[in-house]
Amino acid sequence: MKPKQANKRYFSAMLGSSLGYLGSVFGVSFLHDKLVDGSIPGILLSLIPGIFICLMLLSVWRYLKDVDEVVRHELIQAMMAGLFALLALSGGWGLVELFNDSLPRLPVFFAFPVFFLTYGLVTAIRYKRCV
Amino acid sequence: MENNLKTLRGEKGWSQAALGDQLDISRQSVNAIETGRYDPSLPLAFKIARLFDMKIEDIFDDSGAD
Repeated sequence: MKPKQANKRYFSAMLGSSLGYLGSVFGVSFLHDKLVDGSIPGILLSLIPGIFICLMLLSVWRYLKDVDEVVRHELIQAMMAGLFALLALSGGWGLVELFNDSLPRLPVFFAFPVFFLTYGLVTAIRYKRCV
Repeated sequence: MENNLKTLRGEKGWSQAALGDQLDISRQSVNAIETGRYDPSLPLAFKIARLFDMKIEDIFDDSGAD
């Protein structure tokens, strides 16, 4: 696949799933207050944004297969940075939480933004070197 | 690994984007190979060699790799 085609396919898939994610988060936040906490409908409703997260991950997976080997190499390096940031945070802060009961717990939800923020930042820095 | 891809491309009068189009890779990828930041895989190296009608070892020099 040509690089431009791959980029176009990736950005349109990412935009669609991101908008779906944002919309579903707002929608679920609005509707969830009306449901009983921990009820089956409440749990099923809160799973909806996760579907869009899976679609985002699928579009990243497809993009990795579509792009040329150099871009794939750069993306995987950035993903490794994202993974290490996530492991450092979860391992480091996780131990602090284990040893100190009084400290606030970091919600597991933050694994996703920590990974993607690091991945995005490192991709941007590495991309700038190639321009 | 060093290479003379930039010189060969210059001789043909191609831009990085034009070379990238012929190899089905991005302009940034051509730049990464030319500057030695990325060593291409064997299939891509063969593709480059075929495009310039040369042998791989005439384009890429791995003598400094050891």
